[in-house]
Amino acid sequence: MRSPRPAASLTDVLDRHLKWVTLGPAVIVFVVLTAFPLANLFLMAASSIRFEQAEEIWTFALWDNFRRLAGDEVFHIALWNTAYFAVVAVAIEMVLGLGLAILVASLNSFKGVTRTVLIIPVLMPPVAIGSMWSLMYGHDFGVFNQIVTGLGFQPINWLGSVDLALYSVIILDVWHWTPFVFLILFAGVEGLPKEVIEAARIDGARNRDLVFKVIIPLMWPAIAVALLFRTILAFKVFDQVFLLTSGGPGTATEVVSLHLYKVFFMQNELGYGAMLSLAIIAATIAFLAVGHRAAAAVGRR
Amino acid sequence: MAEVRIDSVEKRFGHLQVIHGIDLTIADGEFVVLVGPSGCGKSTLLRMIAGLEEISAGTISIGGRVVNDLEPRERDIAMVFQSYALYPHMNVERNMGFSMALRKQPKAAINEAVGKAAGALELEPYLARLPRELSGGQRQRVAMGRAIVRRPEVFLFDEPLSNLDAQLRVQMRTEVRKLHQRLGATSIYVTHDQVEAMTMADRIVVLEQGRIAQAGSPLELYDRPASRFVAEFIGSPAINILPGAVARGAVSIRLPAGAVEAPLAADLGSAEVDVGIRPEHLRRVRDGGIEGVVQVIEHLGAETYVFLDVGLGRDLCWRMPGRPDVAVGETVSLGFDPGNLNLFVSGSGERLGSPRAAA
Amino acid sequence: MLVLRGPSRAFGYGLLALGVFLIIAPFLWVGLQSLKYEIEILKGSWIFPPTAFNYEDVLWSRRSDFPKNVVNSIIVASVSTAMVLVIGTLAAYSLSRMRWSRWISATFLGWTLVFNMIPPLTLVGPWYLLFREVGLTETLTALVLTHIALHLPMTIWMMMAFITDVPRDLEEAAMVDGCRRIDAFRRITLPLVTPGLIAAGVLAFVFSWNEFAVALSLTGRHTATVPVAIARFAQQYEVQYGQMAAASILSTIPALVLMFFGQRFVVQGLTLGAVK
Repeated sequence: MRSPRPAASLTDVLDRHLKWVTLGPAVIVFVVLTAFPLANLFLMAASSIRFEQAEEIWTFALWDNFRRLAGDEVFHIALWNTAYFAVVAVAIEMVLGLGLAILVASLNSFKGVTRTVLIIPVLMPPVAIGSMWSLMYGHDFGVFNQIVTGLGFQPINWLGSVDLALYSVIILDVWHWTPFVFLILFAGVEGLPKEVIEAARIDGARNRDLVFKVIIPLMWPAIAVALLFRTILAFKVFDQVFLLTSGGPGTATEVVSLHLYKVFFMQNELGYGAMLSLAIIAATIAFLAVGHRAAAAVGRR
Repeated sequence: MAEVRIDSVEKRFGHLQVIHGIDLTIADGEFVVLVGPSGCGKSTLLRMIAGLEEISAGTISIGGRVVNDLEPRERDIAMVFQSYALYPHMNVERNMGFSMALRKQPKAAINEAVGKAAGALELEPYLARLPRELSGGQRQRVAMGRAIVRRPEVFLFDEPLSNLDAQLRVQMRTEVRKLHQRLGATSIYVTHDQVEAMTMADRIVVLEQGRIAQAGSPLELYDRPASRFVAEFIGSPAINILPGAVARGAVSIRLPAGAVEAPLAADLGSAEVDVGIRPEHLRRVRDGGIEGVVQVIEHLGAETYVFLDVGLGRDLCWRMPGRPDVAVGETVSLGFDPGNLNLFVSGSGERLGSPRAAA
Repeated sequence: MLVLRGPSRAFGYGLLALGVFLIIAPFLWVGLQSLKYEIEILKGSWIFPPTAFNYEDVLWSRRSDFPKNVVNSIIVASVSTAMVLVIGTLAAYSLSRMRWSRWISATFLGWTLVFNMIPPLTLVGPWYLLFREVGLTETLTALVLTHIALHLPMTIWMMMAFITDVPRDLEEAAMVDGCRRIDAFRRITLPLVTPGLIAAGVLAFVFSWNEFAVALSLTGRHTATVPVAIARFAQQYEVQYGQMAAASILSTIPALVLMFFGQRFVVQGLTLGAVK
């Protein structure tokens, strides 16, 4: 049954080096489009870059950029706003998402419909969401103020008030992302071993005990994943804020990504922007490390 | 058809050596079973023959051709996996014909080969089905059919029956054996089940921690195990092992109730030994034998297993034909023919020599 | 899970209905606005003569760039999705099946993980300089390349999960049957991860279609994508509310369409990490 070996074809060559053929393209993408730009960030961060006609003019400005970072009050406000936004929004989303997941699993009907409806916000362009909500938040004709005035109150300045603007952004975010949390946690609830819950019920657990002493502890892995995903995304928030308030009024809704965008493309400060980028990346990695530790610690318990 | 030669083959995973220099020649048309407890290296050895694991040292040749550096597809082998590894997206017919299709054989030839194999395995009604629409036994037969259609020089079986229920397993054992008799192809069969090994093999190779403990025909292994490990591995219920000593041409079995002595055919010097007695070699005597109290009686109909407490911590098993004439709690004395004893040096477990009883 | 009976069950259904309504309501309201003339929007009327004017204006009027934006978005999303699927699936196969030394795969996967966490805007500066250097400023090619970089990590992780689910035995059986490794991949593994390809493909397409920050930074007037266009609508001096609503509704269509085709796979893909 042996057949003579045919001449080596292209496929043969690919097959012989399959290990590299398969990983190679991804390595190229990562080197050219992420590793190299990341390395370049360090160079840029030490420079001031100006454009004169087609020329790029780089001058050494490491210390200037450092000083600027330390004294950049808007950045500090943006950091605080982002963290505040992330914590409040994600906390609300987790509670609502978990409650909804357990509710749908308990009712044991309309699962498909609920899932279909709730996946829409997750897959919509965030910009379209921002645009829709800026219409809804509109002062004179937005639906929210129609309701508020209909109830006999004064119209509310949802996006123009320093005190309220960030919460308006949070409300939008809760609408946008609670469904995502629901989807992950619902998969988690559905994956729970039914026997354990039945055993707990036979042991005398009431609904409240089931939720807090059985379901939530068992779902910890799914909860951790949802929490991690959401926190990461919350720190990246840009699109909706850009659409709703562009950071205003004043700096009330200024967030990290928005500040970075303004430095890069409105102030055309590529050097300082790179310094900011590095600071943000460092903060992200630090956060990841702390979060990982915390999750591991809670997971052990 | 081909002979398989394994020369000083070793396998290391990093620092962990799992196969220590194995030499084995499998004759053309022979059915060899590799058997041993899990982790003994039997599957690794089979996978090295198949080309699915690299060979760390030594050579393997199939039909006189060294295959160390050949890809699995170039070795002219077929393999039946424990999980059957049927392609879930192909129906039975395409599963069985896949190897021929890869070789760009004409459609008619494929159909004929698949049809023949399907006929032999009674799979004709299922040719259009997907694997997930078949029962476990049917899947197993498709896996065999796929191997047959490949028409290889060597068949490799990696625990192919262990996912079947007991009854089907017995039935398929016979099927595999019949298949081998019809095709006459060299076959290497890995299992952890010594009953499968005994019933199917021309020759059994017992592996222990990456080394060959013994190779031989089923009865050779049963009657003259080369070590205590082989003796305990082969045979069900397992051989009884009792502490004892050999001196001046006699063996003495030391029991808490007192020693039981028996003469040997030859003077084997003097040594501390483990005495192995197969359960069926015990018989009831009036006195002077091994004394024990009956603990449990297992009725199998045609025969009976009686477990006795002889004061050693583990029970002695006595296998008797027919129905028992003892009752639980009764004290029984059991004798034996010294010619049936297997003696192993304490500690090393090596066979001491063949004891021939003085008439 | 919980046992809900009588009133508490009714209350549960009430909550669920409220939740679903709150998710849908904004679409309904914005959809309503998109069917109004500007004057009706400003009056905040609930009963009005519906008009398709806003849609016609967005899609067909001569001063609208929207059709061009749609074409740009389709090009960027489909090309980057195709590339990301090919590159990502190959890489996932390599990382889960080939024997890479531990530190290479760990470094690579750790790097993709970290990259997934940092805001994409942090790399926009160097990207801008890079594309300027090679003459790709404000081109679709540049945007496609960034979208490949952005969505590759996610695709690799998802495809790895799907490929690991295919038993190794199958590839080994195929290799014994006469396949080269590459044939085993193509004829056995690849067909078996089709659900994964659909899920990863739909998500990569949707994310690319939705992507705003990088597109805003790296495109120009002629290469702007749909999200950029919507943002421009909202930021014009004289905001055209009707057109804005219409454009927002229109931009949601691809996601909805893909959802109807691949919902099962997408939910599986999105929730993959949680149930493993």
